[in-house]
Amino acid sequence: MRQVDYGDVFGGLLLTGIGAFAAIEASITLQLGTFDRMGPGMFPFILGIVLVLTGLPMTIGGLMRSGSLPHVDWRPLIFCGLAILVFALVIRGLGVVPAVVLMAVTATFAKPGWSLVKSLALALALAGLAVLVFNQGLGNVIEPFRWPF
Amino acid sequence: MDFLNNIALGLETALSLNNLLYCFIGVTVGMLVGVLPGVGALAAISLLLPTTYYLDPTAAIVMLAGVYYGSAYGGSTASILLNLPGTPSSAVACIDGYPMSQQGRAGVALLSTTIASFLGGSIGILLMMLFSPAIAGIATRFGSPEYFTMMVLGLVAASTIGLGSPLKGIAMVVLGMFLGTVGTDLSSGLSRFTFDLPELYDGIALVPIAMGLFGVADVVASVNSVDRTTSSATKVTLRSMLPTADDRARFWKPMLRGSGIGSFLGTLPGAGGAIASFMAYAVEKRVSREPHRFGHGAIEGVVAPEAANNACDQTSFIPTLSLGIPGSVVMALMLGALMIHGITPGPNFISQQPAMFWGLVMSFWIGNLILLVLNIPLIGVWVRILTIPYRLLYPAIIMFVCMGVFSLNNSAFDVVLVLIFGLFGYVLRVLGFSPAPLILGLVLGPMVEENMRRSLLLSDGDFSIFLMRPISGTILVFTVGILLWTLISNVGGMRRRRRDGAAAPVPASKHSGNE
Repeated sequence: MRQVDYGDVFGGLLLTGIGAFAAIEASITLQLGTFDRMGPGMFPFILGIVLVLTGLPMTIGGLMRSGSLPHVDWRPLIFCGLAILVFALVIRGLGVVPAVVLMAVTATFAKPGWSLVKSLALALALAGLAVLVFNQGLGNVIEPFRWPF
Repeated sequence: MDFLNNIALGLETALSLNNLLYCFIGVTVGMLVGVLPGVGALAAISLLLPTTYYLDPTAAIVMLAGVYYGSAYGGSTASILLNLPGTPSSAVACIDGYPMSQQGRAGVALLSTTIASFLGGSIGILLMMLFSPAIAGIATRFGSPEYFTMMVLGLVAASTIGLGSPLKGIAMVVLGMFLGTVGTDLSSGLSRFTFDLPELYDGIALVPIAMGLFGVADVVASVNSVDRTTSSATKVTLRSMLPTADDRARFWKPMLRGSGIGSFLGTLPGAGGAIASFMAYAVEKRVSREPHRFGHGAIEGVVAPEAANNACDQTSFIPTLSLGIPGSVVMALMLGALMIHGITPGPNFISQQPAMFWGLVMSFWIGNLILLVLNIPLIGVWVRILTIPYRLLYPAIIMFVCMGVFSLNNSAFDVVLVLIFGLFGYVLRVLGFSPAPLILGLVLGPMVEENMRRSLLLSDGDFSIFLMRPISGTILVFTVGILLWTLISNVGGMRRRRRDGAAAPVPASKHSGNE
């Protein structure tokens, strides 16, 4: 496959896509109004057009230029993302401590080479810190432990 | 006389036990965050935004500001000792600071940068005290068209002056403004782009976006790359910090020049500490009679940039507080924090809330003094902190992000928002975009739209109103000038790059651009 500047091509397409969506949605769903009486759709419409105007040259320029595939740190991305997701799913049901512990253990997988025991220790320490700062220190939020059943 | 009254009022506010406490917390956190590579002032301020809900507004801003200028002090420590900048604005200090520490002169470098930072910051604060009220006075003659063009100038400057492709910068700003339209439109009551999700009726909150884009994306990018080896952190004793007579002679002019450059650039929207320090370094090298010394441990090469970035950080409060227009992302976050408490900075801010404004100014003095004291004897402590492995740090950061965002509204949806924007922020970084202008667009977007709408209402749809009114017209011309200038300098750069056949450099920074 021909060498292109993947970063710019992808970025440009992303921008053009968002911009097109914005402009189309704004003009169909919302009223554009006239210039002297701007409707709710006018500003997003203009922004959408500008985005397309920045995205297209970027894409075209990227296609004409050669570049390397952008480097992605997959492991940190996946595990940090999962960690936050786990937190969001657990916090309301089970409270601070389980949420933080599960989150932290998941997060430590992002960097290879640590034992589960050490991860758990760090997770427990962080849970303790969380309870200290947020429950005692700021005096609110959800309880450390919660039993939904 | 009025001036002295203001100072007295300010001191009264700043010296209250509550404000002193939060000032201390702020500068210490700032110092810490500055010293540690991989965590920036931006991320720290985003993390602290939720806590400002529980504080009174003055204490909140005092603390956040402390983090901001405090980080400018700490950043150079890592640069000098490890050749690894703790903050983007201290990257320049590596160039001459690290050679100095290799020559066994780490102590001198650390001491001189601390003092340069203090003096630079002081000059910035002085300018703030003298000029903010005056600028606010002029701004009372601002109408909607003036605000519109001023904000556009800020956004254009922020996206183009920074490092990286201006096209990408503009795209980010516009994207941020678009995200700002999500929610209920105030003028018509219609909901825009909410996909019938009730959580979005009030728009996408600033805090989850900031925490996601900066906190989370920063962490993901840093997990693999930040690896602090057992540092050559030589024992830095108090005695080793004493400068020689030669050092002392070489200190003053660079410090003054750096402060001047930094103070000026700070007032411009879009120019942050990083650019100020780069420029100060470039100027020093240009005016020096021995340019060959630079890069090999020239003390001028550390003193000037450090004075510059501290001065810049202080003066960037001027447009933010007197006009209500943030010149950088951090300022946008500060503005956000104030708006959370229902305070909208603008020309009337200084006259309506004198206690807060002058209290803030005085707290800057106090904060800088605290930092001076913290830095000199405690340098050894900071050095030891540098040895905390990142794998312990990053889960802690994620914990603070999650708990912080959740505690705002007891909403797991907010946490999911952080996740989404964290992923998005990382994607942006990988593709070579800087997420900083996005936040600026997000914060200013609604105001830009409002002012545009009002101006066009006034002029019955005639766009020339922006050009015809004198102040607005001048600002507009200036904006177009900046756009043209960056376009021209970029086209030249592109031509050169194509000739060399090299791919466009991607700023693979783990910190966002305008800090």
